[in-house]
Amino acid sequence: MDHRIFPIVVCVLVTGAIYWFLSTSALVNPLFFPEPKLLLSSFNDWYASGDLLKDVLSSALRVTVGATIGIVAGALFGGLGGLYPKYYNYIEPIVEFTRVISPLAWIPFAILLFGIGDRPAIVLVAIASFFPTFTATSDAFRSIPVKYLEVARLFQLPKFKAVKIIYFPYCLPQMITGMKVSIGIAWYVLVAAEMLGAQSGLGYVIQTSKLTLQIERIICAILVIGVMGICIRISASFLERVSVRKVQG
Amino acid sequence: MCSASAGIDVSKDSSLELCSVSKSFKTNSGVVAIVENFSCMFKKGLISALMGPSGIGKSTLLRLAAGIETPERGSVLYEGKNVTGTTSVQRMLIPQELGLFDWLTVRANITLADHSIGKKAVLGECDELIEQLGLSGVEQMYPPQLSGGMKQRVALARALYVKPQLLLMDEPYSSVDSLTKRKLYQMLFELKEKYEVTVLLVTHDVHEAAVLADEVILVGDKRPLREAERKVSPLIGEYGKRADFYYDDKEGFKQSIDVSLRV
Repeated sequence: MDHRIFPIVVCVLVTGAIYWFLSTSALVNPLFFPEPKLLLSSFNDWYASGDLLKDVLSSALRVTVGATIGIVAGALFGGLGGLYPKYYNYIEPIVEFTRVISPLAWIPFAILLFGIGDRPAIVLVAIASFFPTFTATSDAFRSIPVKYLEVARLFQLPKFKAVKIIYFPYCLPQMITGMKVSIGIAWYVLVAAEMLGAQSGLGYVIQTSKLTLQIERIICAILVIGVMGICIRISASFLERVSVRKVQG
Repeated sequence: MCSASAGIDVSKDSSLELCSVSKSFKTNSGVVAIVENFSCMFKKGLISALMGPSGIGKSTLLRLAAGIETPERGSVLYEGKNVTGTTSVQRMLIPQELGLFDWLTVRANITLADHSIGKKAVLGECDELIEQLGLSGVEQMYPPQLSGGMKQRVALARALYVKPQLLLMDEPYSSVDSLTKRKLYQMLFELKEKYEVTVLLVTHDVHEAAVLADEVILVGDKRPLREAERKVSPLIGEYGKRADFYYDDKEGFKQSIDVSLRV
């Protein structure tokens, strides 16, 4: 077996075994730590009803749309802010003020403005994922070495060409780091947003299961959230490698 | 016309003139005046070496000439026209750090000017430059894969690609070994003839100034720089002759060398 896969498999099996041992022993309250077979049957019900697929897809759709909007806007405005720092200084207070507010604080507003459904979750995810990309991009644009800008002046490159040839390739690794943080935060915020303002999705499942005290279903949902989060991280790292190689040769 | 080129016959063969320029920089310990009321003229068709100790402000003079820096007072004239603080591909600077783009191939670095505004400059032949500068075989490589001498040549090719009339070189050979230096000196002579370019280079190396330059402009070793002393190199550009060259400044920076090079 692959030397990287092996420790992962051991870790999962051992953790599962410990959980199984604890939940079947009398050491913990079985209400909070249901037995594995209960988890499996709950998961099976969830899957058989078709809701699992629906919940996973609606969460995936919201996070994809929201994070895409946030990241594209973050890169765009971050780039502009980095290119024109003098103008950016005038809006910086607004950006810094908005940044420190937890995106969850906007939930009532988002629900009032957009109703219950996909849109408030998408808006909250977009707000949350905007800032890391914005900051990484504007920092990268401002930290570009003067020697490169001087070459751009010497060769009289128009600004948009300089952005394409110099700024973008130089800043890309830092931008992608910001984007990865954005994606991670998007996934956090999505679950919270769904708990309050949605009628489907993994966060919604947790919220409704709480009301009916279906601890098994909550644990299943948490496991699905974790697995999907790991998948998102792996695909983000893959995209990072591909895009950096493509631009930086 | 600038009258401050005191003692120098300002004639129509002037390429670039610095007229009473002053430039200072803000540092943590206050404002440092680098150049004050400094005037100098550089002749067309020659290789001129701007010489003086390291860190005295020679690079600043070159950057003023290129238009990368703007003087607080005074002006920069190029062929009689005021070009203070404006860049042009006619006056092409090769910075000391070169500023090659690590993420572009050698070829893409050389042809950077393809993206210039209007491409109004007559662009040279990239293949010819690659051939001439001995860069064949590395044109698809990236600058971090090249040696210091190779990078220097890529920067030179990138500058020559825009067919500049005046080439400003800031300590071009400071990071190159002595054997490579000789090759690059020879290359500069050939390129200067072929592309009919006036060269102004900055160096703190007396030997280099003596070997390369038709005339040497000595700046003092005290800040701010106020005046320059003009000397005709005893070699007068004829590479390979034996010559003695003395740098004897009243401030005390003394050096004498014995140039004895066989090509």
